[in-house]
Amino acid sequence: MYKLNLLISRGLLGIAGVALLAIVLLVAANIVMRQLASSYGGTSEIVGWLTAVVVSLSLGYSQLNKAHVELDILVGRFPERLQAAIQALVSVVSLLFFTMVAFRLWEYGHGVMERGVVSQTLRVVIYPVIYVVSLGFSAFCLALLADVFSSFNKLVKK
Amino acid sequence: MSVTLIAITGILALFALILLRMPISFAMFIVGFLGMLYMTSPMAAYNVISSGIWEQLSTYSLSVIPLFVLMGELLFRSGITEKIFASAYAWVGHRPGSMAITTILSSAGFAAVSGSNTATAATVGTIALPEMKRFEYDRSLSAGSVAAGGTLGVIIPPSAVLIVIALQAELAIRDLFIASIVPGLILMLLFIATVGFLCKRHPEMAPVGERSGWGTRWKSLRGLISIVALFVLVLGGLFAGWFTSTEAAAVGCVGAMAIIALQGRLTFNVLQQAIANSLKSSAMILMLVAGAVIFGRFLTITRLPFEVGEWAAALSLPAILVMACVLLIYVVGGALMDAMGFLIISIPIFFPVAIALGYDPIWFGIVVCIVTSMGAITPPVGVNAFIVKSLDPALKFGEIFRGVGYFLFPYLVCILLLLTIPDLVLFLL
Repeated sequence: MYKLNLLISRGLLGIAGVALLAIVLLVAANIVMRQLASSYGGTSEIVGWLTAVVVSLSLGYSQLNKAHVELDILVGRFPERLQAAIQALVSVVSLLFFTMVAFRLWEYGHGVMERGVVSQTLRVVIYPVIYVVSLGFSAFCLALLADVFSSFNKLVKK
Repeated sequence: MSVTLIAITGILALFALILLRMPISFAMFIVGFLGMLYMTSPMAAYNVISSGIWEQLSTYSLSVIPLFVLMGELLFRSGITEKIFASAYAWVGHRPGSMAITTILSSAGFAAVSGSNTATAATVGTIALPEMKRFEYDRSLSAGSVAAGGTLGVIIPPSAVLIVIALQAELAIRDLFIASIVPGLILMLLFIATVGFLCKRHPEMAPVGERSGWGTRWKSLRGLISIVALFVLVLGGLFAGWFTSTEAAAVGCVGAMAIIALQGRLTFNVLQQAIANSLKSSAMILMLVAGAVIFGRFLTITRLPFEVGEWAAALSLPAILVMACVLLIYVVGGALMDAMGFLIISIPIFFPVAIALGYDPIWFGIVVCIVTSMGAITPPVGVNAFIVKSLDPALKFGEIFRGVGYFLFPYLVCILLLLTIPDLVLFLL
């Protein structure tokens, strides 16, 4: 489970990395273009989409690396078994919530596709990017599922 | 249930989840969503976690965070810190406490190109701690100067915390960056004065080093040309209005890559590590921002922030006293929680209070940034103390926190100065 998670999250992280470099290049190129002729009108739209891709596709990797800020001033003082039970509960609640987020984002993307919504400046469809964001949240949920398994394992072993 | 009671219940639920070790961003998402569900309709609440999240994450201005983080990560791998350290030592090496002063100057120098407190402490500490050990410095003073110097990372621009404050409070990133320069320099000078005072009174704490000749001093500055040029280009361009904050950050990334390439250090591995670390930190920060937006929408519907603001303004107490109480809450909050996490939760509540009391929003943003950054060196969280410990496991926590204690007084002086003379923050704007 962990290996599969790592494989998926690293793959998505690679895409996020390319998207991050693309933002750097696009914004820098736009500055140069502005000096020479005129700036590219779609820059802010594309950079916005790329930012959404960067964040969502990094979520799984950041969760596997426990990057999200948490406060450990209370639970760490509890008996180990109670700690494991609280960890399991927190993991399940987080998993259920973000699964709903991933599903709602997917539904939102579907709705945007069906309505044929296009972006304001470039007039291109935006639903594929929303699907990618939903995919990123799905990978994040997979990492949270791994946390659920690991916390239940700890609970059983204690 | 009254609307105010719902808001208070929401805040208590948020703190309960955080105390149960749920990541702060997750707790804000969940409580914000449930609050919206209760206060509005299921449709509105579902919209917040679908179209709301999409709109939030696909905002152009948000891209400034991963870009500035990437710039710092790249420069972290450029070896520039060694050059800053060597140059600072050449200039002040003969002064009492020179190594500790060098550490603080190097932290300020690195802070000028990095927006992170932990990155500054870790980068400078890696070089400074072994050097101070070699010169037989007092262990507490060594640890304290690295930990306290690291906090300059989020006060001197660019700063990830200031960007988040700007996004949260809808302020211009440029204004916050400009306004933070003088307070950052004041704090740096107060840190240096503290070291000087300690070492004058207790010369045994810090053996004096050799005086470098003027030739060595000027020569040491050569190594800093590239970094100073990058700083001037990025922040100068931003302050002069040539670039937006996102553009300045992108220019910074290109410049950082150029610096590493010129040094022959730009390999695929270095780039990969810098990008992976940037993505990890950015995902964490942007989830905090997105979670805060959802939680903030719930609070806005309850009108609690505005009611707290109106209540504070109606108090028959001097505004400065109410503000001092607010800042005290930030001191405690910053000590208990990660600075960014606490700022994100608290800004929607206390920002309207500051406005209602007649304080300038930029001033408030800078002051709360400084106050909460103090939490990085105070127990129980004190993240910089843990970084120092990880860099030198032989140091005891007692020694580290005693060393950090020396630097709390300059912090207090700085905060009192800004509270009584707000123009120190605002006069550059």
